[in-house]
Amino acid sequence: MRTLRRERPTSTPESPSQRSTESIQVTSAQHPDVPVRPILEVDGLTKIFTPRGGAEHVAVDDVSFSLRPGGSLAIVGESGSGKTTTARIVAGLEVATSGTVTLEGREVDVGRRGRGRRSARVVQMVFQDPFASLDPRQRVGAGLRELLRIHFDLSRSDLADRVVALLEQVGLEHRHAGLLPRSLSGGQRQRVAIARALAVDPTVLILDEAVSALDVSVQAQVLNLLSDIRAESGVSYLFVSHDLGVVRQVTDTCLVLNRGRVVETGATSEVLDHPRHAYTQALIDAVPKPGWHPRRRP
Amino acid sequence: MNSPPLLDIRRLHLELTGSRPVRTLVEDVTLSVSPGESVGLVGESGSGKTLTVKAAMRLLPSTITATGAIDFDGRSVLEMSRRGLARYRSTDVAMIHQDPRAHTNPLRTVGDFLVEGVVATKQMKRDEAIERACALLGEMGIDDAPRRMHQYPHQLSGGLLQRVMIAMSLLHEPRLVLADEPTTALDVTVQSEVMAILVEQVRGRGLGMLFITHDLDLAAAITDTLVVMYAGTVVERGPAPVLYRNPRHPYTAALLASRPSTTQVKRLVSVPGRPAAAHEVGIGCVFAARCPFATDLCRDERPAERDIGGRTVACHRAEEIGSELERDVVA
Repeated sequence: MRTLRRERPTSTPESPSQRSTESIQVTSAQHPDVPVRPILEVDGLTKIFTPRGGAEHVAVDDVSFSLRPGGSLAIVGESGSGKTTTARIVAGLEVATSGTVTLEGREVDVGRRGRGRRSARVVQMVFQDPFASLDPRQRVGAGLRELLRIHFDLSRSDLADRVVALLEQVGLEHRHAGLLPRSLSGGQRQRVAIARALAVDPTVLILDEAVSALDVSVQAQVLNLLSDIRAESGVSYLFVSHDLGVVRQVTDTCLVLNRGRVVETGATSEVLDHPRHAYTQALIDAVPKPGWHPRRRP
Repeated sequence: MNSPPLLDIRRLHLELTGSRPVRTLVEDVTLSVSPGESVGLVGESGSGKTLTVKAAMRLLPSTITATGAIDFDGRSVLEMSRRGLARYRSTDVAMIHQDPRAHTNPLRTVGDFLVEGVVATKQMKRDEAIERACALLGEMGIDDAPRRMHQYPHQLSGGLLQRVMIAMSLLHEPRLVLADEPTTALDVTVQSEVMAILVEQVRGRGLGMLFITHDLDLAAAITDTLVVMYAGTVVERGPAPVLYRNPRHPYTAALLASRPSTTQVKRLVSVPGRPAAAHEVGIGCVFAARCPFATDLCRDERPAERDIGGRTVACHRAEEIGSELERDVVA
């Protein structure tokens, strides 16, 4: 049951032209005066880890946010802030203690891990380490074909076309389909990871520190690519990161987490230019820039 | 920089001789650190920055052959005897590694780790060393130092453990600190604190520091001199404010332009391709394959280092393209 999904043929791969008309619809829906139903709503999400014989640890504490169609939301925080746990619960990789997650108007069961094929097609995730997230023995093309075969009923030639289209979408070439991950650079591997996530045509793409492991010059390429993909396909991003510069470039709203709690939320530009909370200010002050003096905590 | 340099590396060449074909890892690297000077060695992965620093401590595996000159205070590091080398490593220099957890023994207490070096080389008695270590930890804002001395590395946070590493590196009062991405594994607010402590200690004692990082912003903020490496060679070096404000090498400019800003949204100037290793680049300029300004000359001939506008730069076209590079960074 995916009635709220935008009208689209699910059994055939989309052509680029269909994509572009879709993105126009999405842009019109983004108009601030028109209320749009959020594509993802998270309400009162809480996760408590109870280690064997240890004290309870509240990793995520009453976190709520919503993501509009075609939007890009950042979850910002340091290690232990609960940002990755939140993303993993949304993706169905982690079980929540309480709270609700609503995807496309349908509440998902947060008490259960793995929500089946249908859910997987709504939310996809790109992980931090492109060296760990790909199967070292599977060629890039074979991996994409496997994914497409599981989720769609495509003819052999449609399958091949779709693989080429996906590689092109992430800035790779046809010849990369025949390569194993070990022959690819870090940036190319991350592009493959993004292509794999896009293969099932998700509405929400979760990027968990997806550019943190890349060298700056390559990171810039991938960030530009992510901006382009969102503009073209209208997919929404849930962007988990500790890097405020990266967050500024690819998100429009953000959520600052500290020890599992939301300390500040708002438009990314507003939060970074005029932080209201002392913790957000401390995060901003800690970013090295010209004339920066490292400071000890008071 | 009137005083003679503490560490002087000239035309350093590193080759992997254990493999066939022999691979060049670092080529023609020249840099120096004077007493009291902080030098930032900046580059992306595979640029050879860590290898260069390891060579300065002669910590390279036997499969890597070093040629050229590495002098510490007038003594040749490459020609030191076993005993001379041991003394050099234990008294003159100190190294702080990126990942403190990988460089501490999980089975020994923090106290054992801190004093082991100075006690084994008979520079201090154990009691004296423990007392000094506690005092040092105190200076670094660790209030309960005596208790920490009895703890194990797993009981300390990353930031705390890195402070212990810094204390260990300063205990024998070295004259030169080699810091290899000491804060890369830490959160930003913790990085700020650890950097503050490191800079305070190094400046307060008038030590030389060679600071390796991939973060040009961080290096520019805390060092006096920048050395930018790409594919095993130095492409530009000079005073940090000069390089940061108007880079003359296209790679330095690209590094500055590709860093996402926290204050404005802009299309990032991305460099096509990926960082190359020294053995992959041809006979021409190491950056030619990714450089938007490259000409046939760049592809055919390796540019020599030249002094232009207060810094040293290895680019054939540094004079012509200078103004365009400035515009890129400002825009």
